[in-house]
Amino acid sequence: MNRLTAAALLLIASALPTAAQSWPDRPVKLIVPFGAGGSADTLARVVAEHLSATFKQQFVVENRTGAGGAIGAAAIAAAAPDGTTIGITNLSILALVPAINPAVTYHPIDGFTHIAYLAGAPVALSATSQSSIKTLKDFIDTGKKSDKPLTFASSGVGSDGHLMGVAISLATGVPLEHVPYRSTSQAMTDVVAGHVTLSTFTLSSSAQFLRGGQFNGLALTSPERMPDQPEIPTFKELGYPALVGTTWFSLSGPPKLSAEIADKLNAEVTRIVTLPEVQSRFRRDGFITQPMSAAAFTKYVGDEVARWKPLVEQAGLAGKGG
Amino acid sequence: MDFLANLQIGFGVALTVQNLLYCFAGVLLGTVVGVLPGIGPVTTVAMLLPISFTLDPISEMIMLAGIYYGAQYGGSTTAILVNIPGEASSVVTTIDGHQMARQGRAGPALGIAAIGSFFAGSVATLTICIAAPPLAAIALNFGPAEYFSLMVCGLIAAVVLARGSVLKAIGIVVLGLLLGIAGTDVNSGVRRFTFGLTGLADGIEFVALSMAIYGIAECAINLEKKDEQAEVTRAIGRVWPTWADIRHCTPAILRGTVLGSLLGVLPGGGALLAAFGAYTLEKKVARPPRTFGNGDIRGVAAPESANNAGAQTSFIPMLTLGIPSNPTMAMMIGALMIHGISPGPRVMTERPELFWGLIASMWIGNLMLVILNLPLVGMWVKLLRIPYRLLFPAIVGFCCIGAYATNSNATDLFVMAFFSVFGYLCLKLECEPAPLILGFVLGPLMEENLRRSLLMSRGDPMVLIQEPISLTFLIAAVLLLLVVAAPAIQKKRDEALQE
Repeated sequence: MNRLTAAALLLIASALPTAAQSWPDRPVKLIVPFGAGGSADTLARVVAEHLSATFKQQFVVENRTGAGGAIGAAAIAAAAPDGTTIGITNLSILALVPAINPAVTYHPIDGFTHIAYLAGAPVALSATSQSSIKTLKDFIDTGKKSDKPLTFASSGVGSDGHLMGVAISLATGVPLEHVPYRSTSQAMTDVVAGHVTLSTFTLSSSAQFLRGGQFNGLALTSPERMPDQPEIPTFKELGYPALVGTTWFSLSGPPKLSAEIADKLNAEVTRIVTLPEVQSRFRRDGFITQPMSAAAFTKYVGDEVARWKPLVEQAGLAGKGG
Repeated sequence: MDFLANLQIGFGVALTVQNLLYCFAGVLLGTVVGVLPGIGPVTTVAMLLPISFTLDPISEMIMLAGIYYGAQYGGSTTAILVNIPGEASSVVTTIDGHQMARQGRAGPALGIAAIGSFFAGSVATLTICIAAPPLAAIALNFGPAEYFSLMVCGLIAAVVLARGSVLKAIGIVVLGLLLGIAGTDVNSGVRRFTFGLTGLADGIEFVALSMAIYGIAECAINLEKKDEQAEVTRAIGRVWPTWADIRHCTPAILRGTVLGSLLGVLPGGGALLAAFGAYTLEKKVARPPRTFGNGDIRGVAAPESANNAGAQTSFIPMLTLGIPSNPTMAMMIGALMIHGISPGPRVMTERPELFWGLIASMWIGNLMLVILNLPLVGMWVKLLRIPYRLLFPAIVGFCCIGAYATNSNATDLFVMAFFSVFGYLCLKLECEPAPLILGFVLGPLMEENLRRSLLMSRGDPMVLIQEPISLTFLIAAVLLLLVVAAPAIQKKRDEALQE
């Protein structure tokens, strides 16, 4: 074997797919299926910064927006499983959009390698302070007596807030009329002014209005009361155990990603989300963390898909977004 | 006093090194595009929209605003020295301004334009400070019905005030409305007008659309014009006008400022309408009137004050109601949306630093502009020698990069290509594209608010006339339509807009 062949072989060998042991030897792309500046984007940037520091390799955030996150999610699912592309997924992308829109090209469970649960945001059922509704009991009494259904605002048809509203309506037996909005801020303006009675936005979106007294917090969907809003009860303690659930954000990769890479990432993300500075940030933003292994999180996704499907059907949305 | 505290916040934000730099960059760029005929603030803002991702929203707004009012200063330079309006809003300045230049009084003409603009800019800044907070307070109580009626009124005003045929303007507005509602319907999740393309699921990208029409199509149209051999006035002379000139112009500047401030707030208004209005008014009321058209310095002072005042007060409806009065404001809204800020009455309370910082920056920017424009005027004139064969390909290149970079979505490039051809045809057919952009931005908002108000009233359309504010806007809209329909008034309108 002459030197030229040796050099060529060496070249070929170095071009072979990355072995998991040496991962990451190239920059990793972190796809965010939502716009810059939103919750998903902020989370992604926090995680990317810490991952870059730990693995001594750049984790580059790339926003691939569109179709309620379906475009970015499809890009994650279609990437090569070599560990150079991962992305942010969430409740909506995995459990809601596929149930609503049969045309999505990815499967919520088999279409990905689910890596880790990042953070969840509980929904705060709140009423405008212009109304006399101050507690969940007021809400049920008023709602059942009213000749017109009470209205609730959310960030759009098929959004987590919309379906949470449907779930609340089903569990409490109070008829509700959904008023969708394109922008959270416009929705909040209308609830503050009393044009819409209720809000099912996340606690993070509602917190400033709860603090400012423009919203009355009725109940939270978190498993326990939140440290910064100790006065707001949970649905669970008020006797509605079915209304426990959060909108959540997670880290996923393309299918057939090596278990070794997924576990490495899972361990690191679990460490990152429990760092004191990240925790204090999460607390301020109304996020809660639930560390779980990659396998446990994959099961969690399956449970959530099964849980929300009937609600999507109940809301008359199944197969709508074609 | 709140007012002073607010200004303090504003200047605190605007006077940071970073924001001063962006403000300077904005007014400098504004002056450059103002001087250059064929490329205007709308094109420039459209090209800079994709940069939004990397900038802090405050700096971004400060810079984009600087481009808009900065162009009003630059536009007058070309109008006076070359007899070509650098900006559409400087068209009337050519009438008396260039005559002055030919009489060897180019310096005072440039001087009075800058002084008038600075005075008007300062007054307009104060007007925003005083008028915006109460307006936002009222707007906070606007429900969907009020918003819908307000937008109907605004769109009709935009049609009435558009240049050219009313029928074409109506056609273009309706087309804009339809284009605006393409994509996933917010109320039902159903996709409309997407031809089954996933890339259109979120509707037509505003950045791509606006760059197509104001970037590429405008360039194409400008290429058709023969290189007009510009007769540049060499001798500028003393820039500072005499005291007699200033005394002579003071009433004109005052009238121009007031009228410009008022016309700027109107939907469909802004710098262009303000300048036309002010010149027409000045011709009517100024004594002696004979000298207009023959180098009357008041014919420069009034429209130049008015266009700057109008450029600035057109921020009022954008900042307080979230409603754009002209395409540049529509793009500002687009830029804010990219940052997840939806313009409306909440901005003032939730992001006071953004609101007051922007306003404070306008006054600082005006000051910078006076300095940039008076002593350095000779430098700007040299800009007119840049060949368009370098400038236009650069613009097209920037537009393509920008359209793709916004979402990393190739569909946006096809959208831009399609609307470039469309925009070119529009301009060829003398259809003013401004109503298209307004309709495009307002269409989805109008639809949403109408359907939302119907949802809340359980399908009863009477809600639109039961709410007094909503009823008032609708009546105003009907009156505006009657105005257009009445032949006598229509003739007047044509006269006023054709000057």
